[in-house]
Amino acid sequence: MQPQGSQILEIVALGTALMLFIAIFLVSFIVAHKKKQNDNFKEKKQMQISFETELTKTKMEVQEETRQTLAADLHDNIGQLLSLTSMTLASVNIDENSKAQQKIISAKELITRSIQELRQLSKLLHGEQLIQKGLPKAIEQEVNWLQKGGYYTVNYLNHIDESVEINKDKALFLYRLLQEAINNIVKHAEATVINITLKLVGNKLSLTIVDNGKGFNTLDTDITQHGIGLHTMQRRIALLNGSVKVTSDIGIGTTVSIIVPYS
Amino acid sequence: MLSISFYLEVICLVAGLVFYKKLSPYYIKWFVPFIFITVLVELPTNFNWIIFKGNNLWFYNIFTSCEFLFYFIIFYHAISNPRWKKLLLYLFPAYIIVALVNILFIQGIYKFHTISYRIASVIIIFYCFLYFKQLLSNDIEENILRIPFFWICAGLLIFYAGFFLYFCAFDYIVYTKTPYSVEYWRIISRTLNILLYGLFLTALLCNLKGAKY
Repeated sequence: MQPQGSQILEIVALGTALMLFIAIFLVSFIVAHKKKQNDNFKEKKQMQISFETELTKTKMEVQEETRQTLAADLHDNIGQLLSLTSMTLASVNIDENSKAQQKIISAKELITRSIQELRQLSKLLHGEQLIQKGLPKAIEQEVNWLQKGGYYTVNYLNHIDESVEINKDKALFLYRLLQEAINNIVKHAEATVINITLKLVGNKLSLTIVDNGKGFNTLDTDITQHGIGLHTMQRRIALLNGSVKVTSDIGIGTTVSIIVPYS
Repeated sequence: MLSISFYLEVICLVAGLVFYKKLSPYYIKWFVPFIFITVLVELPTNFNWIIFKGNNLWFYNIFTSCEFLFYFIIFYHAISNPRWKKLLLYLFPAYIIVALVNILFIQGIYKFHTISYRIASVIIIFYCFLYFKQLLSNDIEENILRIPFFWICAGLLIFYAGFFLYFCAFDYIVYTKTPYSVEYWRIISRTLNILLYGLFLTALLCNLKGAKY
């Protein structure tokens, strides 16, 4: 009986030591695991901070660009037009009736153009207010302005329900990108038709701008990097975890597809 | 000679009383009267006082059963999952019934209630696991070394996991009077008590300002 009892005692002692070891190991594992989890949290937080910093930086960049465009337009276009108007009016000699009439008509035309330029500028500045009503409405307004000019046939298809909430910052970024794309069409494309489509693809927002202009060679780095700022466009879209794709065929037109998560 | 674990219990009590106001969360404060009662219960053993003549196991049966009920209450406040909290509400009266039936009718009042002790140990170990799971699934940055209940749980897990096997063989070892069983009992009991009260002390001091972790 005695050896059996001693053996049981030894087994119990070994078992107890093992249980103790397992319990201590478990506690140490939890401490180590939680420490690792905390390190991950810190890293994630750091990444979030740098993401937000980058986002703010880009937002400021966009604002700065808007200001620069404003300054350039005021100086180069409206300033010039008004100077010309002033000069034209100054040169009016009321004794020379026919010439004076012609100059007054010219001045009137210059003032009309100045007003148009001012409207364009006001539209640029108006973006942030427009976006408060939602991206689909802001695009609708942009389309209205384009159509008022009478140069383009603009088809706008909005497949987004009003109940879908789009992050305001993202919406403004997208709106600015749309303006940039339209600006490129107006300046370079020589298009007559513009198709704009806004829709949801899963949990992503898809904005497509198609024109029937002269198109360009997408491999031409001079155009893609300097002409339409595709690189900047891609960088900004990447910040929103999205993507931008530009396809173009010479003589057929250009398509700009932007996809970003909407929440 | 007083045991180290008893010294630790007294130090825990003093620390609990000194830092009582700073103890948080609120249920950690309940450990102070609990440790005080534990010290009172263990005083006679440590000073060889004879309070009850003859077999005093009936007293330890009551005390250890109440000890488990106290831990159940503490876990009820520490666990956030409503399902496991609710289970404790059922386990509390159920354990009273199991312990009473075991002490009064199965093992008897003058034998140590190993059956109900083992059942309660398993419950405590299970809830320790649940608490650790809760800590790991908390999606916030926190230093668990500064969470008092983490240390309490670590102490309870080590203590009851360590004692579990011993209490499985307790009846055989003690009542067959296996040689060296008393020595084994002393070693295991003292080691586990030192770990338990050492970790309780850490729990009481860990989130005080200046504690280095």
